[in-house]
Amino acid sequence: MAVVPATRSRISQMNWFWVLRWFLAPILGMGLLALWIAVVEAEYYPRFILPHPFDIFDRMQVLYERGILERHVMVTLKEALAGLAFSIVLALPLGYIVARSKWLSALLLPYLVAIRAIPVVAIAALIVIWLGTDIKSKIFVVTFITWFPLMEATVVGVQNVDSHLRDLMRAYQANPLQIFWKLELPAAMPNLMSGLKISATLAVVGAAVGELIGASQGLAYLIVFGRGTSDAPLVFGAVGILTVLSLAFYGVVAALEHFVLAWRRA
Amino acid sequence: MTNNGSLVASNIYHAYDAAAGRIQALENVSFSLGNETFTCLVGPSGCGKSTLLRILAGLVQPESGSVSLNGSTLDSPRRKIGLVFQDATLMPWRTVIQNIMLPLEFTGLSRQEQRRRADSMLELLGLSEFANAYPSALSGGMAQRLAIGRALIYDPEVLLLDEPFGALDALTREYVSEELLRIWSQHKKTVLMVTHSIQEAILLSDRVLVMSPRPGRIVKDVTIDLPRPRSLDDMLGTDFVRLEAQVRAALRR
Repeated sequence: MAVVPATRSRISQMNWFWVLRWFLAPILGMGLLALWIAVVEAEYYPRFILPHPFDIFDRMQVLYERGILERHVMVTLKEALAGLAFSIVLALPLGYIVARSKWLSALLLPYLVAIRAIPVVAIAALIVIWLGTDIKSKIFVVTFITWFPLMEATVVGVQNVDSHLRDLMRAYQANPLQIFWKLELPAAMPNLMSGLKISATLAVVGAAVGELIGASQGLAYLIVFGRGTSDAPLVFGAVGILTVLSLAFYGVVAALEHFVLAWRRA
Repeated sequence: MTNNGSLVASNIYHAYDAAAGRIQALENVSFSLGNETFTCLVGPSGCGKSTLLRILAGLVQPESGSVSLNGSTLDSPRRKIGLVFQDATLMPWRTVIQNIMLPLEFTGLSRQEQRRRADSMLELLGLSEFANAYPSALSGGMAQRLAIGRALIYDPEVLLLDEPFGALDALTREYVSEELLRIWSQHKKTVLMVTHSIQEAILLSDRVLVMSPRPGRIVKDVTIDLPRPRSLDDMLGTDFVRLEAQVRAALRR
């Protein structure tokens, strides 16, 4: 007797979720935008402090038409991608070593955690002294803040490989390379994808932080420039594009995950 | 092919370190498994059965004593030995047919030959229609049958099973153990199976080895001379009940 109402309430829960996600969430966003416009038009604040959304759009439009916007976006994109690539090349082998070797793990892990604990802004001066203000310093910052989540994901993924599957691979007389390709890598893949999602989002943050330390181009350079000229629409616009870029990075990795981990949906 | 699949354990002693200190797991374990015989190993929990199986598989080296397969000492894992664990331990990212082909990928067999063997093994297991499904779509009993098939596919001489039905419910357990008998009758191997169930042990095997509580020793060696083929109904026979009492008495000693 209790089954029918339970089923019904489950269906209505699903409907509610659907309504929330596709109807109420967009309305909330539009409401906040309307509130913003209302505050600006009521002139509580001068426009150079809180610009009208349309001012931001116009400012970006002008930059876009002059080809300036694209150049700065590409610079930040390149920094984030290069830094993330370095991070992957560094963190995956490191994570694998830490996961597989008790000795090296005991030796290295305290230092790896200590490096991770250094706030990147605190060593900004050193980064500029050592690497200058060109793309090298940005790649360094991106790598510096993205490698740890990736390494951690690799360690957890490789350590959690089923020990009986390892026994079987030994019984099959698989060599270490075969064990890696056929067992460890696919088994760790869900963890790797989670780590990569975190790191990919951080990569854009890292590129922006790197540019704030000192740069002559890039989206965060536009923010610094906008601060100097009290150009609030420029600052808002650059922040918005950085956010979109960050989401896009996440989206690409999520799509990759969807494809690579197709077996989980079967 | 006279002495294929004869597995001999001689004077095995083994201890390992645990949180509670050094644990003597096995003490002077010796036995010899004849070619193409089915032997079950029963014993109380924690008596070192699983350790013994890992030693027999060549995955662990005993502290002293030795294991030999067909007369030569076993000091590393061999393809001549197939393994089945309590959990099916399938690769969830591989389809059913890819899972069963896994052991063949380390042999020199051509892709077509691998595929052919995998197809015929799936047919024997009655899992052909699931060839392209992922393990998550299989029931516990189907997954365990697949694990048995995977252990048999490269035609090992010895099959070691560590409580292979331990994770299954009672009905599935009976069904899969009958299936194992059917498969074994078509692919005769030397089998050693660890189990907690006395009835299961008697139903399946030619011989039951009884182990003592830790440190594990073989305390009784019971020959099961019931005629084959056997079925679940045999459990009601007087001979079966007599053997069951004999094994149970040895366990309680």
